[in-house]
Amino acid sequence: MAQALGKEVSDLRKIQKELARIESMIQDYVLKKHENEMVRDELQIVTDGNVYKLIGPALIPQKLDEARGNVDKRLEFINKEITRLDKLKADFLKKNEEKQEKIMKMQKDLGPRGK
Amino acid sequence: MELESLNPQQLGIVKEQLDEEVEGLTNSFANLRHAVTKYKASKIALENIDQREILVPLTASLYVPGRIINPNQFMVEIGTGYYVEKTRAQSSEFCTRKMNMLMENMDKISKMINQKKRYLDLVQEIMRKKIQEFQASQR
Repeated sequence: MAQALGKEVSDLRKIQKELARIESMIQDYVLKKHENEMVRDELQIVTDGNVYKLIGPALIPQKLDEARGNVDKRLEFINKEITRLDKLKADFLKKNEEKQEKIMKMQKDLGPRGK
Repeated sequence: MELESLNPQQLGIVKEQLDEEVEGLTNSFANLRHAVTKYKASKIALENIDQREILVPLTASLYVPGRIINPNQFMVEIGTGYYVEKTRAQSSEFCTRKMNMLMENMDKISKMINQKKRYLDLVQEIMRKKIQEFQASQR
């Protein structure tokens, strides 16, 4: 019986580790989202003037609409990833709660018999 | 939150958590201030550039004399590897925009820090009270 409890606790640890990993990925994407939104806003302000992209050590000229399009596409992707990860996080939070309840119940059952 | 219902040990955990949060926020605040200083310096540098002879760094220890051909044209990094050619006025505006945005964030963070500090004071007050009550009950 105690072995089953041990397994549940180790499962809980795995769930919590995964939750922390997902949370950190979400933070990364949120950061990227802010940076790309700033670039998008700046590109909106540009009317004349040339746009360049840093590819390796070289500044390559870009067409304004192409640059805007690229940033928009990237933002779309980032937002999709954030939505996906948020849903995954909600799933794991639910699993976390269920596992904790299960463990509490098992500890209670084990308690009186353990004495 | 029902702080009164927590025992001194739990309050200690809350205090530690708040301490960590305040430290993190203070770090972010310092980083923002550092960035603002850099944009301010860039803005000042913009105003000082004219058609002068300059020394161009080729490596960390090698400089070559040169002349600025167009003192009104600047390359500004707007983020994620994108650079835009801007005039002196546009570049200066860019710096101002960035500084304002950063200072707005600094304000938000400083408000959050004050809020957390007030909460921290409350937690410590309640902890002190509980410990006193406990010691009184031991006599």
